[in-house]
Amino acid sequence: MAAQSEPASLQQETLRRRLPVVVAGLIVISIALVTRMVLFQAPRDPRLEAYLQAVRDANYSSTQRQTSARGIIYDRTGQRLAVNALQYRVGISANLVSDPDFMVQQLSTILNLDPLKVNEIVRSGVPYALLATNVDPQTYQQIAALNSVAIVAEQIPRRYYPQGSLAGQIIGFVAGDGDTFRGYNGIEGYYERELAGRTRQAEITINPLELPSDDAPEKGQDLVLTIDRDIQFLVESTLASAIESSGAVSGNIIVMDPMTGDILAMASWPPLDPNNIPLNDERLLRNPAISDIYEPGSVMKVITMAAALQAGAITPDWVYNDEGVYLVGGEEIRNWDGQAYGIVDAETVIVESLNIGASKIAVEALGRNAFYSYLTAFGFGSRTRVDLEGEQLGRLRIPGDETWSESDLGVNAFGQGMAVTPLQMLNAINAIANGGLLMQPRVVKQVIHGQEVTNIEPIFIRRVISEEVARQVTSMMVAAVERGLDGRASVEGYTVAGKTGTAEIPSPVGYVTGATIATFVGFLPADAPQVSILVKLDRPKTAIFASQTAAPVFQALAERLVTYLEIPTDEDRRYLVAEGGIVGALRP
Amino acid sequence: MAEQTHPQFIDETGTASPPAPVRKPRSTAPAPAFDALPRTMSRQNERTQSFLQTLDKPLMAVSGLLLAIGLMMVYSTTFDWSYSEWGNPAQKVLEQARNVGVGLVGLAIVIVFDYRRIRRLSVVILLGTIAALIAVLLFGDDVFNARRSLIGGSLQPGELAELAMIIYMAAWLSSKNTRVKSLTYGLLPFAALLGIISGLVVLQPDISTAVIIVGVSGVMFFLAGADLIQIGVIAGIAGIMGLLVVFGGGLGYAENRVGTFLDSITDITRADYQVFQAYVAFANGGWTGVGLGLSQQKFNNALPAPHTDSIFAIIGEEFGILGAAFVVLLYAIFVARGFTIARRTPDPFGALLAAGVTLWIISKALLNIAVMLALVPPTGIALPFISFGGSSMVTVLVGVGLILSVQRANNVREFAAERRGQRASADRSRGNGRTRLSSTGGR
Repeated sequence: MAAQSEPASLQQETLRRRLPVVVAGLIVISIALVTRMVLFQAPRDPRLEAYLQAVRDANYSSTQRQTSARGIIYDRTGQRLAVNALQYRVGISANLVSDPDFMVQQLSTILNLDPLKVNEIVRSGVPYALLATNVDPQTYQQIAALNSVAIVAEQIPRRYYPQGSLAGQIIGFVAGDGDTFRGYNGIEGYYERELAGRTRQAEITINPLELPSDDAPEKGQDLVLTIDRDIQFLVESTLASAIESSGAVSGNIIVMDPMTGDILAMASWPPLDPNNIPLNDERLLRNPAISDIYEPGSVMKVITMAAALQAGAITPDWVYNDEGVYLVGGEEIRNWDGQAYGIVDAETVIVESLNIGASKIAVEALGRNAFYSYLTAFGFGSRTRVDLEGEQLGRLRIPGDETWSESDLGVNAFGQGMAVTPLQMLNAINAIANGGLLMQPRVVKQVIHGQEVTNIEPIFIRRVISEEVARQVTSMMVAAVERGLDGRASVEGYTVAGKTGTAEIPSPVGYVTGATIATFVGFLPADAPQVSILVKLDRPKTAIFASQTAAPVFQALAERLVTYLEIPTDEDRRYLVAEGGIVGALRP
Repeated sequence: MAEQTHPQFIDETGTASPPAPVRKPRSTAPAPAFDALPRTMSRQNERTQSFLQTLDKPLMAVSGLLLAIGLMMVYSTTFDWSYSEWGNPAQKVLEQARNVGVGLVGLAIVIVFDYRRIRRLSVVILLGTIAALIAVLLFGDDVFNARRSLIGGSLQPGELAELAMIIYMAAWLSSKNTRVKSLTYGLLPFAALLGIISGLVVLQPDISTAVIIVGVSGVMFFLAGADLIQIGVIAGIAGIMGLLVVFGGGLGYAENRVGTFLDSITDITRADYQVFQAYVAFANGGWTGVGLGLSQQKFNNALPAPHTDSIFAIIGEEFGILGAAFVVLLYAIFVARGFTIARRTPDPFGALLAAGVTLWIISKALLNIAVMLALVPPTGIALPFISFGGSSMVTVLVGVGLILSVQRANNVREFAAERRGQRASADRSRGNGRTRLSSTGGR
């Protein structure tokens, strides 16, 4: 009956008969699908394989430029001279937005943008669209708080110099955007590699299963300078008032520690504010203390003297007869006042700054080979290798050069016919101040790399003269200050060694009349110098001679520095030595 | 004869309906139509059939396995997205679990309610579906240039229409019996009905759903005994109509899809973006796959809709061709079981319903897979049991519930027949006259 034997209606019979047809159809389709899958694994055409790989690369990684925070520049006391101001560039991957209404509302509010525009961007479905540049960190925090995968924020580095124009020429500046973002000139330029850290243009995996590779962009290294912000400020204000009072068009002051070659301050007029770079005037961007060259003038006599003494060509009791005119290589050499000084000794050559005496020492006693080899040993004609970008090497013709002539020897002896940078000059004088060692000048004394602090030791280049000769020349320089300058460079309580230089300014058609470059180079205390100072004023109007312009600036600066650096007076030191105190500070 | 004793249970097809559907599953098996045993009688009997025993285990096993794979793959494809959007990697898989839960409740309701009652509701269901389809055209939400959903995307009448159409087709075709062959009773009403429903769906436009509706209904028509010549004619007309709709009907989006599709069968690089990304997934997977969870294509929208329409490609990437073929095999087992049930069902409505639902599910699966393999133009069709989705999951599980309900009726009937056979001998020895009487009366 129906219940037991499943009564098959006609329709049911048809269904049973026809089902196999349907099953056959389904089997054919399934086999086709599986075959297609299998065929997908068949060896692929190389072009297809390459295309496949390109699609994979695009899917699983994205090329990102990961900029690292630039290193911070500190002065020697830890004051920040250059820092990073954070800014962000905010974009959106519209294809990843899950809640467009919310996103439009939030973004337009936070970024203060037109909601209609934001709406258009958010609903465009494009993989990337820029929303705003120069977004400050506070605003960025709000954006980041939305915590959406769709938002793409890119840090844009901006450099900020909190001290303004202070030490602007030493620091240099940073310019450019993206790939061209880098430091130029000064420390920013010289230490670009260290400061920039490692900015990567990298394939970043966007697969959440894979950890991003650990070579994340490395933060730039921080630099601690030998520059002292307070001394720098003192130097800059001193220079500014000196420029004003002397009517000079420009000038430089460098303060160094002659023992180590540390530059404590280095200022040039006109100043440069790295926050507002005058990119249209390349000349203003340079640091004149290392990049402008000038004829050093009489300061060179000290070098000539040191060379002759070291070579044994003369002794401190050497004398000569000054006749007022001296012929070298067909060129007449006269003293600064045109006078004949008669029989004078070596010290008087320095004290009275006698051109003829310097020439005679170089030409007759020393000879050209020895003279130029000493000049070279003092660092003239080559860069000091200070760690600042933009240094010039000066100009020194030596025998063997086509343009060199015998008369060059005669005038080079008192600093004419050659050109030096202010730093070169001071560094050479430092070799006399510190007992004969040529140091490599430097502005960076520490590199901070994460937790690791690397101290940079002073670099000793070579011994140029003996301590004995250094002491002899120093005493001549002390005499020059004490006897030759009427106290215009003296500092009460301290023995000061120094030398003026009044150089004429060469032009293609001879020297410019009435215009000079006045320099004073000195150090103190003379027997154990702690600071050496170079003051250089270009074309001062109030007086021609350096003794009247540059020397008083040195004096004013030195008086402040001994206080600031707490340099004990000579008397105090003798007292301390007598008490068995700091013996080493006084040379026997 | 039973027909004469209980004419009220006989419907127009001449087959039986049960006197009452199963209300209390824990109670003894309800008597089949022809038996009509008193309830008290059943309770007294020591051998009973539990609710679970009446369900088809192979079908449940294969469905359960597919559901498990689905949940696993939904988690694999959504954990990153869920974590970045909601802070909980399980967010989407929990939503899917909820969808499965709702679907299983629907499945249980259908079983308890009994498919034969649904038959009586088939007209109401169809009218409701037509109303919903019209409503979606009038008030629906626009998503991707199409109106397919109501109430913020939570209800897609297209999915419902497929199932409703199958239920109605089964009811209508079985009621026509051999008259299906006739032009006026069979083909013309069939074509009209199909035209209305699929037309409404095409207007959304949702061509893939229309294709499923037309295809499954057509095959059901064929299975119900349609005239082969008529079928040939209607298939030809449908083919021409389809081409007209696709190429000439102003449906630019479909035309483009079909255009790139034809190129892409031979040159995969010319395929639609999504399809090529699916190909990349299969290429990454190779024979054995990169391993569970390790697909790369699913991240960052490289392969769009990795948890819904594209999930099969991710299976191919993570488990390789072998894993993907295994899933195809599970569908094949599902079909084999569904069709076996259809064959075993004496009631033409149940048979057509079981065959129709099975066909519907496998059509969706094959269409989805074919799209992923660039063999069919891209359409938005979910992979049954596996893809993330609400409407799709619930309708599929309700469909499985219908098949289970059909098989349950078979089981109950067979059990009753078997028991009756045993008891006939046992009762005679015990001298249970009532049973014998009833038993003989049934014969």
